[in-house]
Amino acid sequence: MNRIFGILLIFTLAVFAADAPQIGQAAPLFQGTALDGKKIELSDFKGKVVLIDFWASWCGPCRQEMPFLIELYRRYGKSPFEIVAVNIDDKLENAKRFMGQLPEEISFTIVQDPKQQIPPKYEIKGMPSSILLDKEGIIRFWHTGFKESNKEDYVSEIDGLLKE
Amino acid sequence: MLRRLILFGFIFLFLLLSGCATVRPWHRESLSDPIMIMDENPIDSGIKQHYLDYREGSVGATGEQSGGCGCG
Repeated sequence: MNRIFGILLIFTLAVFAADAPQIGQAAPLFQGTALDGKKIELSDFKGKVVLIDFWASWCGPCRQEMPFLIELYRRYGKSPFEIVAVNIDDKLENAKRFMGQLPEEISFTIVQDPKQQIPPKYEIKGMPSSILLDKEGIIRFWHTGFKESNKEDYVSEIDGLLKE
Repeated sequence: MLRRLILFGFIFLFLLLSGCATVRPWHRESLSDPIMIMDENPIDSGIKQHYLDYREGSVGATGEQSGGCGCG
């Protein structure tokens, strides 16, 4: 009897256990297709500080965050810095419609992931999620959600990583 | 007999619990649609709730739909 309970308990725990990557670990690699159809692999950006951002047009805070990402890329685009924004809209038209409403065109990499295959690799807790990787591809900072008051944190974190 | 009943009860409970699923942040596209608010005029209510939150400087416990992103 106890053995059966034990097996059921282990099975239940196994179902709910999530193996999310932690700060200090290597970022899970992924590949995808950019908006222009070009194949993108995360490993292509090794040697650069990378900001991976998970976003969707249906997510209010993601919409608020996007002009800030554009600003960041304008500021650091000439440094060894790259933004890889993974869009998880079911329909790409929705993302494109939103991008068309932005005051500036996005010049960083947008990866299409309509089947949402990349977010489970990172087990993100909310949208948007912004993950900063150092030049070796190690996860160094992790932001869930977006607040105007956190902008300075992003800047100081990127500055620090670029100096390493 | 009692042990068997407890065992069946436990298995039944386990089967019921296995039907509970956590909606992951990346699967909330449909949930974040204003049409998911149980209200006859969801968009109007959402706007009213939004400015109420800002005016009162407080958020939550009102069934506000937020962005549906699990970040708010």
